[in-house]
Amino acid sequence: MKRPSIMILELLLCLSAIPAYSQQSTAQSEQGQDSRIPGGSKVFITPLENGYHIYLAAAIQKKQVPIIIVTDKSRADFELTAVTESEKAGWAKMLFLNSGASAEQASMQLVNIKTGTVVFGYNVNKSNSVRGKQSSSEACAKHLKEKMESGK
Amino acid sequence: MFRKRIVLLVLMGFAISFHSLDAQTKPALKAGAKVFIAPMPDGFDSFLKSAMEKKKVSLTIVESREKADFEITGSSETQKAGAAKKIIRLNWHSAEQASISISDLKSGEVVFAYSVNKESSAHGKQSTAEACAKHIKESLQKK
Repeated sequence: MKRPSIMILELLLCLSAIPAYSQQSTAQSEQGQDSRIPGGSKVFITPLENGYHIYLAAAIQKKQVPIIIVTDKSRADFELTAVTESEKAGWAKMLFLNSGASAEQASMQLVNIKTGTVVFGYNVNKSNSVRGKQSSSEACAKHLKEKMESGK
Repeated sequence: MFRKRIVLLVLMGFAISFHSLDAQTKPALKAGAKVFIAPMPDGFDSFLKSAMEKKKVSLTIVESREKADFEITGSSETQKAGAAKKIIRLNWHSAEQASISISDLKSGEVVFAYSVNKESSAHGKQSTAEACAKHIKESLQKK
């Protein structure tokens, strides 16, 4: 038979552990919610000098990514930023590889505007891009769709 | 009997409200809509206007953004055939890529977007512009 004082102490310890546990679980669930991209979210694509944002918009439509692209940042839930680089095929590539395709690399990230959390990031590098910027943008869109469908 | 009617009325009400909500949230590009083509680098906007005329796209192009319902923005890039392409591949045609998006000026939502890449464009920018116009027309015909 335990003493009443020990029982009270144990009870107090248990009670003190509950808020800590609940805090941890809410933090985990908040983190999970933060990294999620709900279907139908409004996304603003930051304009790029080389017009890559328009390629991204076209790729998102083509791949049927379930988001709404908006042109006004104040109406958006997420912001998509990207960088891209193209390298045209040179003499050597044409002569030895018989390829006139450019080399493309791009990187994109999707940020939750409210929380400032990066919810998605993706890099693509195509040494032989058949359709130039279109190919790299479609790779980005495809992976964004996969991330959304995975629901993580 | 009376209860069934009430239930039916409530269901109909829900259906109508959902339909109107859907219509409100999804702006659509329709035939006859007024579009403004924003200036683009390399004068691609001019090629696009001509292509839309040629392909008989059923949109009204306006010269003022204030009078428009939709705005077309885009970018294009041309790479002339270099000596390597001419000598090794015996190809004088330029490589072209272009991308356009149409956004609703009221809601700010992008309603249509398309990109095209032609490694060997027979008619330069004209080819890419006409590809864009053709796909706008197809999108209008689907609706």
